[in-house]
Amino acid sequence: MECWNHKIETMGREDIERMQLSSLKELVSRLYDSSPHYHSRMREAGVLPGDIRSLQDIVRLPSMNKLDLRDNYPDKLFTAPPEDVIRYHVSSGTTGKPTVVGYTRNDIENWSESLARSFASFGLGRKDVIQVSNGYGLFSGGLGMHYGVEKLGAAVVPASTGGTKKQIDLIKDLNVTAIACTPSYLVHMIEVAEGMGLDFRNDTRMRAAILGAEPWSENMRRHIEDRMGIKAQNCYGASELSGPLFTECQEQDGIHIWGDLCLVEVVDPETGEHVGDGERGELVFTMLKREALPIIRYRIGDLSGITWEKCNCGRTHPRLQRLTGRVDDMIIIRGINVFPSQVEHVLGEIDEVTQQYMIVVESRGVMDNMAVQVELDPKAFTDDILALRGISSKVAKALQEVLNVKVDVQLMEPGSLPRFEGKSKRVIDKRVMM
Amino acid sequence: MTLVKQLSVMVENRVGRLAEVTGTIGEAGANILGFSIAEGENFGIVRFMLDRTDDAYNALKANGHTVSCSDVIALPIEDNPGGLHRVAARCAQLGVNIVYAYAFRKSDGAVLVLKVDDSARSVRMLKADGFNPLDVEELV
Repeated sequence: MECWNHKIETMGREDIERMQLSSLKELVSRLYDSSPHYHSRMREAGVLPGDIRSLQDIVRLPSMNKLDLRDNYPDKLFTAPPEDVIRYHVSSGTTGKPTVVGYTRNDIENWSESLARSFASFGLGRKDVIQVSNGYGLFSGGLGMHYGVEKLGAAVVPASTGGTKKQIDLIKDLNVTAIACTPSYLVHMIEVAEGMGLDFRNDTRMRAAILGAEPWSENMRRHIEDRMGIKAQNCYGASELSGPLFTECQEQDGIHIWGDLCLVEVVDPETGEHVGDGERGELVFTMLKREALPIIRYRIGDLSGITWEKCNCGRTHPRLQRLTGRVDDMIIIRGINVFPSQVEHVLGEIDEVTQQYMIVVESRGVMDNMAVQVELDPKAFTDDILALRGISSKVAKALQEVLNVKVDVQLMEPGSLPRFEGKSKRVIDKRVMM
Repeated sequence: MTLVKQLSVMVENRVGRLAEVTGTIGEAGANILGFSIAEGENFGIVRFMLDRTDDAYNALKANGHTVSCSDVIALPIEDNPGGLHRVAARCAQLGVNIVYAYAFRKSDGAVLVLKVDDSARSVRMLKADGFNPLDVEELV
């Protein structure tokens, strides 16, 4: 087994947890002293830095979520001096303000370290040429991968998104051996390559793909691996945690979460209490070394479980099991986060339809398709089918502008969609999650 | 000008929904003279030619149905081979564009219901050409 950092990646659970506790204590003390926000949150929760004596004590600390970041736009939660911040990434606003994540030099270094270990865990190294086809810019995917590849010492081809034919030419001409992108984009690339008469298996040196930012199925993995003759590795991350951070190793049996950098808890979404070892629940992340924007007990909304069982690859850090869904109704379509509240907002602006709607997501072939069923406003009903079709198109166009995702709009008879008392369940996701 | 009122009802694509609509119309005491169904993905549009259109309209509204009222032309046609063709051919010559149509038979002959692009102009041209669009009393 080739490890990027053999000592850390294979140390025993007790040693990892000792490191985690030491980092956690340091983090909590620092926040208590330097962050007015955390200081008051901790006072409200009746916890002082000295109360954190074991890892179990973490439950005494207040948790945070996306709203904390949004409400403290742009940088009110930052704890590093402004001159130490060397980069910002900004995730798109969904229902209000965007969230801003700042990075110090150490933050970038730890992020890159995490990815370099991950890349090495499925056999990538200095001799590889890795094409980064995640978006570069405010989105953290492109630059995050880029720095990880450079840290690894491999060559990076910063292709970003779009220009698929050119991307395929580059893969061939620069002897690219691995690509980072969304699974749906890679499937698209396979189709385009076929149209160009190119067979990835014989005409390129491709051997791996790092795929994430959206849910994908085992079927899709098999499809990609068969058609390209490569290993397709699942990648996990989130803009709040830095960006893409962790991947599967060559065993493809769970995503290694580097325990010295990140502490994951799994809690019951209703009670917030820890679930038993190996059980599923809501993931709660603490980034132990973050400086610019501390992320502590961050409830990210993903549902899954972790296992501390030693991996066949020899690595000892906890592994994240398949994601089984979301706590909220957020859905990810072709790498883009979509919240039902966004759909509701768009529908509210259009007179001809009501705000009674359902979102239906399904796999069409290997691509995801999103349909919005919405009840027509009875006053807008007409005998003219073309006019009704015009309403559908108008709604589809408005949704696409806001969501950046193509949406099929289906008008429904007023009163025909389900009504909800209490928490509504407006998303029907028929995809197989990975 | 002789145009006839027709009711169009938006009907969810679900078993039993049409029966709810026709039940309401029956209870309102309206007799269906002719009707058609246009199918869509999640709903259909059911169009009714009725003797007591207003009563049916109010009853449908009161029962929460989504309904609209529109003007169509009801043309008597010969109930023998070539009957429809003679009308279709004249419409073609007159430049009358048919959006949709349905037909039914009554005791003294057949009736073709036409939705056309420009109702007023089309009725004028059809009348000038010797056709005799029916009003609702003549339909019953």
